[in-house]
Amino acid sequence: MVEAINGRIAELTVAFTRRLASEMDMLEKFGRELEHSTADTAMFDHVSHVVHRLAGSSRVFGFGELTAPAQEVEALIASKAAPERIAAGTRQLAEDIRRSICS
Amino acid sequence: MTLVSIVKSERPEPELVGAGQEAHAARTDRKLIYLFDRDPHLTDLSQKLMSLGYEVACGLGKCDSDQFLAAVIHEAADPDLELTASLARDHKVIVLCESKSFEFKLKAVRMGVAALIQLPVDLIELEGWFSDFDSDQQVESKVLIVDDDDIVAEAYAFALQQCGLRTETLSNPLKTGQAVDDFCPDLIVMDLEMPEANGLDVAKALRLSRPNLSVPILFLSAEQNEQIQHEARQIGGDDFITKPVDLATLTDKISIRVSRARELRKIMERDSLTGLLNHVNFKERLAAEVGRSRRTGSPMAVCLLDLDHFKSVNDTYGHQVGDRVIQMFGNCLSGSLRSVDVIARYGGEEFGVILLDATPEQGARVLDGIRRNFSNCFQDTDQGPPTVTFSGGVCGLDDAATVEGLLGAADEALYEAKRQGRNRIILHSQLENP
Repeated sequence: MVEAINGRIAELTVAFTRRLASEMDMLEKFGRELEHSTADTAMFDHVSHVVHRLAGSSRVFGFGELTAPAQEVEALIASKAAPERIAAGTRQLAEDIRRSICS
Repeated sequence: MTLVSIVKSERPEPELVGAGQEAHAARTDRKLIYLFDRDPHLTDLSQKLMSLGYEVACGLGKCDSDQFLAAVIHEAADPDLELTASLARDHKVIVLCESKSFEFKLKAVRMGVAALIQLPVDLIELEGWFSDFDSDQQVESKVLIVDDDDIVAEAYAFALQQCGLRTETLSNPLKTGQAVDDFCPDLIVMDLEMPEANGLDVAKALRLSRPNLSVPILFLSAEQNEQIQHEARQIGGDDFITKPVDLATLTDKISIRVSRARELRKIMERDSLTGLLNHVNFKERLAAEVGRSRRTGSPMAVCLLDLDHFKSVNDTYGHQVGDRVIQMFGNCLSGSLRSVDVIARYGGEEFGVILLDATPEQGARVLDGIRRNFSNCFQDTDQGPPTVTFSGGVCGLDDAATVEGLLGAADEALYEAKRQGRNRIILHSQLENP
């Protein structure tokens, strides 16, 4: 029984971590696009959705340290901050994710 | 010390459709009660419980089964509550006692006692506890999780399952209405921001349907905006949990909410005298079960039962005894029928029963068995035990096309049972001009 529980938790954590890695790639790509002014509205919406989700769910899987930086990027996008500020926040979040996954 | 085991195994039950292993398994929801006593009057109690559909067996100082619904212990048989404490670790224990001092109650609480009943035993009170224990065991609380993040929804579901809750997850909020109809959740956990639809709008759409007005909705979101949180509560969200939240806190909050929601619903849906479904909710359940049976092709029996000459019981013994007769009839039905069957106080001294997966003929046989035992249930009053019988009318899905038609058909059969002299069960299909 305990093994089954641990097994299911491990499965879900692996799935979450795998998704986190792909979100990290996406955030880095978004940061680059912002620097070259090529990010479109759909991309903004997608990133906004991803960071909102990250802010809410990362703690469930033991990545609570990502909550604050994700909330920060969400607030920057919501307040239509300057692209370079959003890019900086996004890069920082991607870096935080990398560190969390590797630790 | 006498050990009397009361086994609820030979209750009159419908012969379920299909003779295979599956049908047999569905029938054996065996309820066992151990009674430890030193008091001769408990032999009489055992006999009364037999009349409610229990089988009674005697033994000496041993429990030959580890799976039982409750142990009933006379305080004289266990003055230091040692046996009580040992059984209460894994089972529900009811202690029958003369004294009910607060000190004794505190001692009973420390020993893990679930209920104290003063002697002489009130059969209605005792059976009420059995019913509560049974419904605690039988019915799982259900939580529907609506969240577009399927990994997180699965994690919530898994955590809630570990607390004994039944869950269903839904990543597409547009399917919420159907999921609520099919799953009938006790509580909905809803994310606020989803790409397909906003959680607030989904909740508002659910509330457009009258049966969904009372289903509690708990919003779960990383939304920081207090105005939006306020709006969520205003449209009928019962609470707003701000993400991030850890699983332990979440499961704790949800478990408490579900438990309260179920208690509240019990009060709203149930008749206060008998604890059975009330008239309105019986008709709603009937409509749902008719729809389900027509979809699956499984039979069902719809029954209306009425106590005979009830007015004279009230006139002879008084309304207090009349109320107890109604309670006892309700207990007799819930004790004798399966947990899956639907029992309601239809109004006054009339009761409605839906026997699932049973043909009308099987239903009539079951009710006839209950009818034969029913008059033995009653305890003495100053004027002696009241003699009460009941009549019943039974129909099936072939007898009418609509819910109202089915109730009308059962009522016609009940009327015929009364006309033929009462104390009998009549099938609608037996009527000469149905």
